[in-house]
Formats: sequence, structure tokens, C-alpha cells
Amino acid sequence: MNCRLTDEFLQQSLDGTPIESPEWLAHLHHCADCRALASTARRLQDGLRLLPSPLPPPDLSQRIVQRVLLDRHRALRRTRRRWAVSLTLAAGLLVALSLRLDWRGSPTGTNQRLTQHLLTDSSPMQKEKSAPTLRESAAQLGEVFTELSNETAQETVGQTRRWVSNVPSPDMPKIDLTAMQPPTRPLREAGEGVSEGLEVVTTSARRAVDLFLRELPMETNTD
Amino acid sequence: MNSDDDAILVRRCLRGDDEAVRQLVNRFQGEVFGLCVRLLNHRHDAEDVTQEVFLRIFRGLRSWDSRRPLRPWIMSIAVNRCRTWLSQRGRRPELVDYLQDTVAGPPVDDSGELIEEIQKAVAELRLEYRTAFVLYHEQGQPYEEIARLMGRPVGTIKTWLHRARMEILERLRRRGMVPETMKSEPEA
Repeated sequence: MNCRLTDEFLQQSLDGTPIESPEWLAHLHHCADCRALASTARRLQDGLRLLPSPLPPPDLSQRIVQRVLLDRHRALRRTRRRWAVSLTLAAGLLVALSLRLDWRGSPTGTNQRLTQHLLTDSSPMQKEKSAPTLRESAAQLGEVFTELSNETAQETVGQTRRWVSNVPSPDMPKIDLTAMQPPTRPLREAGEGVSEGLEVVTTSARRAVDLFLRELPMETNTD
Repeated sequence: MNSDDDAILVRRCLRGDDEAVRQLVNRFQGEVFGLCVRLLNHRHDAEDVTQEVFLRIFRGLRSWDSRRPLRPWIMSIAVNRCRTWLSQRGRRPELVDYLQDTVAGPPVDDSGELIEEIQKAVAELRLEYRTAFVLYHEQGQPYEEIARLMGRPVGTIKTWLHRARMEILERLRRRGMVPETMKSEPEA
């Protein structure tokens, strides 16, 4: 038996296991250090039995419950707020998605007008791609001639009326032209107006002929 | 009080039953507070930490595995909270006025002094030793439960407890808490 076993038996004793080893008891009779250690261990056991449990203050339970319930209510409020925010976001997202789908699915109002405008804009391109036939070109030329003729006729008539309104009639009394210098100016202006009117007619006719000549060779070449 | 009762109580708490909350607090507050006092060596700190422990218990009640006993789970939260508190406190632990913990009756002969010396000895232990000692000798937890609670092997817990006891015995002997008569009358 040696002192190292004392340590082992002491631990067993403090664990609550009774030690019934005659050898150890015999060792304790001879070893003062081990005897002192064993006595201290017994005092410790006695002291631990007497050791009072720390008593909580009487109001601690109430304080804990109040704090826990308050914390739970706050957590509940937080959860509700999160749900509300999430639902709002989800609803907003749904509305945004439905609006976008509606815009894509059925164009209305401005979108429809925009679509028409785009279609209208694309028509010249389509016209460029499909070349007109000779009959269509001739018809267009005829229309242009008719318009130019009407316009020229109207301008001529207008200029003539202006000129006629400034020419004195034969049954009017003879007027001294030297004394009547100023009235000669309208005659000059009438002549200038006639020349201007004729210039328009000639210009229109030239344009019509140019257009006709520009269209004709193309048809001739393709044929 | 068995684990079935605890499980029922926990279910009631989770359903929002305030009365169940009160019952659960009353059932475990004594043990939690006692452990906190022993580990923190400060009554007011122990009160604060006890409240925090129960807050954490109720916040994490859904994570409790109902197949396991509730008490060790609660005590593990208390131990962890005390450990965190001590690491944040950053000052030497203050000793508790142990006399106010005495339940009833005046101490016989030198029992009061013995108790005080034991308390001081426990308070001077390093935290791991102190936790193992308090859980074993005051809370009555078995080695396996302490090991699970502290996240260490059983062998480590036995070693810590052995060292804790030896340090306390050494202090008691130095402080003259062993009468000469007992020294001469060995008894296991």
C-alpha cells in the first residue's frame, strides 16, 4: 500500500462510494499526510452537505416571467411586421408582373397608336422594295399632269384677272398718259405677273416631263 | 417531475400559454440561479444572467429535442451563459455573502466557517473545474451528463473534478479546517 492509492480511494469516497479497504485503513495509521488528507476530505463532505443552496430573490420569478412575455410579444410583433412587409412586396410584385403581361398581351391606347405609327413608318420601306409597274407609273404620271394642269390653269386665270382689272376699257374717256404716269405701273406689274405665271407653268411642265422620262427607261430596260 | 411533464409544459409554452411559461420558470429558476451564483460568485450578476438564461431558453425552445431530458439542456444554456458573462466581465469575481444563502438555523460550531472556506475555495477554482465541481456536488449531475453539457469527454470531466477536489482539500488544510483530533482518527 502506498500514498498514491490514497488519492484514488479519496476520489471514490467523494463520489459517494464507501471505502472498505483494510489495507488502506492500515496505511492511514502509519501515514500522517494521508491521514490528514482523508480527514480533510471528510470535512469537505460534511461541508458540502451543509452547503446551502443559493435562494433566488422572491421577485426574481416574476421579473423573469415579465421579461420573457415581453420578449415573446416583441418577437410576435416583429414576425407580424415581417409578414406584412413580405406580403406587401409580394403583392407589389404581382401587380407589376400583371401590368407588364397586360401591356405585352393586348396593346391599348398609346401603345396601339405607337404600333400603328410604326407600321406606317415601315410602309415606305415596303414600297421601295416593291417596284411599281408601267401601268401604275403611267397612272401616277397622268395624275401629276392633271394636278399640274389644274394648278397652272388656276394661276393663269388669277394672273389674267389681275391684268384685266388694270387694263382700261375702250369706252372709257381717253386719258392723257403723260399726265397719268402712275397708272402705267400696274401694267408693268401685270406683265411681270403673267411672266411669273408662265414660269410656274413651264417649271411644272418640265418637272412632269422629267418624271415621265425617269420612269420610262427603267420599264424599257426591265422588259 | 418526469420528462413527459416537461414535454407537455414545453408544448404549452410553444402554443403561447403564459401560465405554462410561469410554471416552467418556477420549475427551473432555483437550479439555474444556484448554478449562476456558484459560477459567477455574484448574486446580482446571477440574477441578471438567470433572466438572460430564461430568455434564451424560451427563444430556443423549438430547438429542444423532446426525446432528451429538458433539465440538462437548460443547465447547459446556463453554463454557457455564465461562461460568456465571465469572459465579458473582465474583472475578478466578487465573493458572495454566503450567509444570506443560509436557509435556516444557526451554524453549529465551526460549520459556518467551514462552509465559507469551501465557498471561497470553490470560487477560486478555474472556471472549468468550478463548473464540473458545482454540477457534480451541488446540482447532482452524473459524469456523463456533465460531459455532454460541457462538450467534453467523461475522462476530462473526471480529471477536472479530481483536480478541483484536490485544490479545495489543499486550501481547507492550509486554512486549518481539519482538527487535530480528526487527523489522529483516520476513517474512510
